[in-house]
Amino acid sequence: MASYSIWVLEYSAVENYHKSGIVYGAHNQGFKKLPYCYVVIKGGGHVAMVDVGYNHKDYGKHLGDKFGVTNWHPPRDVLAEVGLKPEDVDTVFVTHAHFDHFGNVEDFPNAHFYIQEREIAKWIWAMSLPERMRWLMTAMDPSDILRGVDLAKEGRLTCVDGAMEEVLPGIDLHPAYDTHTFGCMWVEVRNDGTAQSADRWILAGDLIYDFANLEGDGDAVDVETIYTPVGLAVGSQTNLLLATEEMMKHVDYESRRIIPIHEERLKDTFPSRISDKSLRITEICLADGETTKVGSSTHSSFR
Amino acid sequence: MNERPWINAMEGQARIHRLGCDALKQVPSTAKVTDEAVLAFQTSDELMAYGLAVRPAYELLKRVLGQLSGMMVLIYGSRRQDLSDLEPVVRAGEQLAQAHDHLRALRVPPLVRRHYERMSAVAEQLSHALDLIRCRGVRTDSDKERIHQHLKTARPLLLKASDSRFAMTMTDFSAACCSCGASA
Repeated sequence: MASYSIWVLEYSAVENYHKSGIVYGAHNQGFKKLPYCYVVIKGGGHVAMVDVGYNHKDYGKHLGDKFGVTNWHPPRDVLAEVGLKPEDVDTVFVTHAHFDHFGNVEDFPNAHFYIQEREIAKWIWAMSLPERMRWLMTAMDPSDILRGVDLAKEGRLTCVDGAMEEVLPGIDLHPAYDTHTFGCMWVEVRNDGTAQSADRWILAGDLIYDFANLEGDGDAVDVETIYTPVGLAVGSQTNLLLATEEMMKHVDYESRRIIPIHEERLKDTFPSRISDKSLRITEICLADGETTKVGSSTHSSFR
Repeated sequence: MNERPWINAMEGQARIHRLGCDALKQVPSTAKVTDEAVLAFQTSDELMAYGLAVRPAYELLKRVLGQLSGMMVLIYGSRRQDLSDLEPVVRAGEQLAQAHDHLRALRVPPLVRRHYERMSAVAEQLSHALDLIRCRGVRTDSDKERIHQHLKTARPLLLKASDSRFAMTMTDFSAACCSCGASA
């Protein structure tokens, strides 16, 4: 029995992203595609998302010119690939407040948002620091926080203080403080709805960028694989590794059940297709009775 | 040679305002500006000097906008009503005072007068919001609403004042997920 379908939906991409930004210490190892994605979780009468992307109207030209971010499409086009509209989304879990995850809340008028309170509180602190410490404000847009005021005023934003179980049936939130950002969180879907679920999926946000963060080359220390943290962290790589271990414990060390949304190679592990807008739709799992949105795969190997 | 008295040299283009726009309440500059003058100004040392000098004020205003917005998220999302004694409020006050000082000290070429006025308007809106937090402690829904309105007025003005040529952008992308080693 599976309660939820989960899709990873690409909405934009950086075609040539330096590997050292993805894997800590991977200097001079070339470039790879870094897709920008969000996640849709559908089931039990709910449509939830993990993160909402960014608003092209405000950033698009600058991102395109300066960083090679290309092929942005609005949520209406992206969600249509799995038969949904932005208005259908009733819940959004914001893993962290970077612009490319929290930068498009206005496109989801019926959603209730969840974010860690610490993520907001510590950004306030970071913005109060002298200019010489501005690195701590990386990828943070004050406009997004102001849009958060609109949500909070309308009663559509819950600031979560720590872990939160059963936000939706079978869906839990877990904090990972002082990692990629001050108040990151990851989302766990217990897809059979039981407390001791054997069918768990973890949506990792930016705690994991790439499979290499979960299964890095362990040759140097004579083991098959080791955790290797992502490069960008305002917290610490130690905390990233501890968060990785915590996530792995929850899925009984079955690493493919941890979903890194920036990982192009998800297509090698899960069924997927490319839309007519050249965006990839990856199908992580299907709820009972749901029809595939990517082709004829049965997903039998992933249950 | 066209006369374009509404030109904004920081944007390099003319604007037509919609009916009811606040900008129409402002007295327009009487200076007559030619296309050639604007073109020359775009690459002038005078513009470069202004852009570099105004950036610290922009950064401070951006930070204060972010801090006050974050505080309002926490106020709406929690039962806390009085923030006036919090360290971030004190620090935001100091940063805002610095921004005012920067703006007062600027030498403003005529062709960027509108940019300067926008920056000053942002500072004014943020000052109103901060005064409400400091003096009244955000005790009523009316206080919250007034603060929120000041912040909502400030944000588009600051966005309009953004200029990537001078690293005046709302978001610092230099080490962001999208960064390929370039600076924002």
